[in-house]
Amino acid sequence: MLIVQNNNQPAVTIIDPRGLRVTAAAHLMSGFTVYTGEREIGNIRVEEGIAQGIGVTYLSSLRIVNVADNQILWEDSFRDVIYNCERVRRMVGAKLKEVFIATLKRQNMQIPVEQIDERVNESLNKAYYEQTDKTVLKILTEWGIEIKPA
Amino acid sequence: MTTSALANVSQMNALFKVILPDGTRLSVSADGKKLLTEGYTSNAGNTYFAAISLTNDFVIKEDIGQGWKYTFLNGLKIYTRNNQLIAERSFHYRVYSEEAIAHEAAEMLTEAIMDAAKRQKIQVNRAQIENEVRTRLDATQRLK
Repeated sequence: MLIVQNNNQPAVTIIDPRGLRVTAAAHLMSGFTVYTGEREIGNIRVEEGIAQGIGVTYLSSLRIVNVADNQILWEDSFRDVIYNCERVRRMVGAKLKEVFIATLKRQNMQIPVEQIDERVNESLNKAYYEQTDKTVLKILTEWGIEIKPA
Repeated sequence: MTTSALANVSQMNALFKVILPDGTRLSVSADGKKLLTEGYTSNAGNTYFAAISLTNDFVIKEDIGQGWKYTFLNGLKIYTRNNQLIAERSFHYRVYSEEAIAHEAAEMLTEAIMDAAKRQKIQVNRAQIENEVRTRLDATQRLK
């Protein structure tokens, strides 16, 4: 939870329901609350910029950063893109794979595409859905639904 | 608002901090089934607002756009009662109706549970999930 106060406006409380660690926020005169949040995915940090309104939430920016040296691996800003966890997860996944594959190519190294794919998907699922999955498992238990290993 | 629906005021306040911009004003719908936010009217004359309904297990937030001819369902989000977002979906040109919401909410929640089961490599009975989801979403609490 982040509490932000600026420009003599009332303090704004930001809690992201998707598991983002909110790092900065502002309450705009338009009524939108804009904030940035981070997700750590191993040695990578994903920074998401979000604009939350009453009836809509937009994705305004995405940045992928190498944690060790804070180097920006990729970033982009968006207009009129409605925020959706799965959409963002896929964008980040696609960009991460691009970055890894391009780097290996430049270094004239073998590219284990399937391995990269699997590892990226596994890491992103954990980063984006770990809390949701825990909640769902709790719900299934409360409902008395039988759970078996796949 | 009924005591049973909003017995834990601090819990509801915590929920609203998560799902709405801070300071959003709310009122209860005429039929007493939903909380309605204040609206924002665009230059084009369309008014955007949200409607929130409560079941025993979930909170459903509808993003609504009211135009001069049609009212559209722009988005649906389903949260647990402790503020965890479980499922979200946005729509384009989906005309608003209670049937559309009931259908979409049930489908979204079922898919969210099935996707979580797949990620966690567990097997669950889809028919059982669908049945349970429909029953629990039908139990909407009255707010007045």
